[in-house]
Amino acid sequence: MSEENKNLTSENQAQASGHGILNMTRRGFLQLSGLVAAAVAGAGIAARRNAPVVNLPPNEIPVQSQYPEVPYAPMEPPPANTLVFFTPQEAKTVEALTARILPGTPDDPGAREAGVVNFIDKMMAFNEGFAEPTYRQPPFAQTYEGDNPPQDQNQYQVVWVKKDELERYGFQSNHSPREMYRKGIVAVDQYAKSKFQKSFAELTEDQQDEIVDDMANGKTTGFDEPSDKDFFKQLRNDTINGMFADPAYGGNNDMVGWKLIGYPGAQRAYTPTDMQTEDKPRPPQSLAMMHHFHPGQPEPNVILPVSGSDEHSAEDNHMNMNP
Amino acid sequence: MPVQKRVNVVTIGAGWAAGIFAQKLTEAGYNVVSIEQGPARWASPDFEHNHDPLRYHVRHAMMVNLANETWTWRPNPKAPTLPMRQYGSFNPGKGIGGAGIHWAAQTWRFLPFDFRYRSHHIERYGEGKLPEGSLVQDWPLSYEELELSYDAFEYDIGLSGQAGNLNGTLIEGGNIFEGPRSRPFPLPPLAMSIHGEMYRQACQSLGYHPFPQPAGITSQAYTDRFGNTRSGCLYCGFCTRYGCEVDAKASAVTTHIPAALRTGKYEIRPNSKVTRINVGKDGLATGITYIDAAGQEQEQPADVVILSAFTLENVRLLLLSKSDSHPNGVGNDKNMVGQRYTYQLSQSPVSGVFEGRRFNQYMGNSSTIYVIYDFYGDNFDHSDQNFIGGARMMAGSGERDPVTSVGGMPIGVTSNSPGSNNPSERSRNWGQGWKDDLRKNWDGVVALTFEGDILPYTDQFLDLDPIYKDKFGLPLLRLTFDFHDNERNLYKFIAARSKEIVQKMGPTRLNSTDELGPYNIHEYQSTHCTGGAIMGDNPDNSVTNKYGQVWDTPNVFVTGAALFPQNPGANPTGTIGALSYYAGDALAKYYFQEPNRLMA
Repeated sequence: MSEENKNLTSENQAQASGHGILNMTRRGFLQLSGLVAAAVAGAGIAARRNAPVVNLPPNEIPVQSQYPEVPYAPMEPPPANTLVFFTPQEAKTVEALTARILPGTPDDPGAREAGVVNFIDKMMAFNEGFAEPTYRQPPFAQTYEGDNPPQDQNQYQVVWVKKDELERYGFQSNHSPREMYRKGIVAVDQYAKSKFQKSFAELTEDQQDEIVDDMANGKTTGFDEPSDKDFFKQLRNDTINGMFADPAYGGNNDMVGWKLIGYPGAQRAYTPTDMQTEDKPRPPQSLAMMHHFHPGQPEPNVILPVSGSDEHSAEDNHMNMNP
Repeated sequence: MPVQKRVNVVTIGAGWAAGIFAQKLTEAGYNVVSIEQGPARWASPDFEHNHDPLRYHVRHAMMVNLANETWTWRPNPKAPTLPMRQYGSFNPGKGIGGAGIHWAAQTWRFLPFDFRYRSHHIERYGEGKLPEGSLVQDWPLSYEELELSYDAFEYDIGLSGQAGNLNGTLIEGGNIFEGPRSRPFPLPPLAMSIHGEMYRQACQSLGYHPFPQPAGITSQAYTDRFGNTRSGCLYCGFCTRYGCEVDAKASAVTTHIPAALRTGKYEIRPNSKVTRINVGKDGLATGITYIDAAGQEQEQPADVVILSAFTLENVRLLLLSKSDSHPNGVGNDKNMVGQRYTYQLSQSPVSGVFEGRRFNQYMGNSSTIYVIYDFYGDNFDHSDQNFIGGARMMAGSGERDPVTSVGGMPIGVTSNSPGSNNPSERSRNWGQGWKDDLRKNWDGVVALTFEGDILPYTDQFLDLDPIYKDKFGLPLLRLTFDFHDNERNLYKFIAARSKEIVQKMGPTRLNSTDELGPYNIHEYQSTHCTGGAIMGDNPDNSVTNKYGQVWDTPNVFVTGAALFPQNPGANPTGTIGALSYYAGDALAKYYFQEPNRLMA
């Protein structure tokens, strides 16, 4: 084990309240990950500069946060009662919108009960709300209708694209999701007021459905950037992510999204028989509930883990791996 | 600029091809350095806790960081160009093992006629059959020449499957259309899924020849000839876009890289980005320049430079490496670099809803299914067809997760709410009706997919973008690409066959898209970009010879799918592996006897 790895291990053990490295829980693992993520952002870089070369055999490589531009799942769900980006009024509108995309009741949870607005709020805190690293260099696209771009092109460099061709190019906005939400929420409430004289969250569900339907079909007034359709698309994507991503991200409370559709979540293994049998799905399991699993050194003549459910095989696997 | 110690061979990237070359060359006693843009990583502990679709699938943790660099695209030379700002069409990876870590592991050999693409079609149908504007040509080597390399690669990675042609003897249950294999698969096929079995039966009743998808995933524990021992597949359902936590899914990291590291002659420098190939006055490469993990520019001198990054990055580096000896870039003395860019026609024309069924599609992977080759390539008569080429066809796969599947559930299939009085609600992809459908049918919707040929054309190519730059200020690569009539006609034919098959499977209802729309870059389709630095039999029609050796700079080798003259439709990794074995063996055995000379 390298010096760097030793250091990381001992620090991790201290932080993980006495868990040994081999019996490290999910929590311990993530603390380690978080630790390294922090180190990479700061002081850790110096250590890595001195050791940029990988010529070690497998399994002696230090644990690193390999993709610092994409956050790890948090150790536990962020608190739902603290907003980091939305104002309380904005959160109310967003929650009401998500609750029309996936409606629910306490007995049959939907986006509101799953805490989707909490997921979106915390997502906005990272990387300007972008779900993924995004190329943001200019020039940006400018659309036109008709056969030719306008003659009176101004002094700014833009790329002129026919309006109905733009979709083929994917995301091209110079707005971040943060900006889209800030402006989109205002536009929704204004449109709601123009149609029903109340802000969106105050409307009846049927009225709200009318508004959402208008957005989805591009029939509203008052939206500029983002367009009504684009804002709906963003809301729908984020609602899906918040409803169905691991609960550690702040949505999918109590795994209600997974229970809705019968998805068992993060499982270690299934047997061929499991796969070939139509049966009730296993109870769902989140990342935090996953057993620690360490395949160990791939030595000759050691039987590595074989198929089996997580609950029943984890201990056996450990025994196999540490003969 | 700091100059590193000279080595025999430097590879750009540390993925599949680099790992294979490193293993072969270090075994032969040469020292090798790989410069890898991404991090170091191994199954244990790095992939232990990656069952997180948000991080690995939606947020593309393992892919090239698009905030730093991307690719630009336009549908044709007259259309405007814009960058791919977020992931869509394809998913190039980063890190040790490359995209071979997050690949799906469907592993194919191309068929004998794929290597004689032009001659075969002319012999059977006459020259008039080749679509106007297309630029198909033969490979400079044959299936027979490559067979032992395919075989060696497949045994080293522990391929699972059922042979259909063993030394000329056809075997029922395997792919009877494949070229002859000298040995059976090293491992039996993976277990098959419920909907896979339904697809098999439907195909059989139509007289087709279904067989299990060949998989670079071990169906049983396997020890390779280097002594690496790997577990059998756990069917966990976190496969494509994830690293395999038990090394059941093959990669250079499970196989070739550990073997190369054990020789003590191999180094990998992670988080380091190659920016150019350096060229001397004699026109030969002298090594490469890269920016290391600390942001310091470094020079790595080497006798041989191997381009083993992703297809598009290999082409970009050739173009970026302009010098007095090669003013248009390495390999580009005859302006062939960037030509013959093609893609894979990877589409899902039909899906069936089997109301109330639960197929466990979140288990298994993309190889726990049956496939047919009856309409692949020229396996069927094209005399009365208005296209050439074809597709392999299959039903869905495993590894379904809700985050990435719920949004794409086809409207009209899931959102059919017969109870609703509101007609618009029946086609809504949101709301109570949609939620109820997801509850009932999320695991009962099966998509039929296919992967088929795309030809190279005169108006389809790669070059350096004149405007957009990466974070170092270097030009991005621009793709000029769109579908043509051949692809549209092929799609229509395969979509109709798919519909017949799904009807035999007995769905409650089905949803189909009968015509191919224009290409777009925002939907994921396939990472099987090919061409741009193709191999051929002379410098006028290609960038390299059959070893990937660059005609105008013979100590530079190109690897991977950039070498393919056209894309025959099957997934490329099996052939990338075989070509790397073929060229790696030649390099290890012959090249250094007469360095800097073109190998015959």
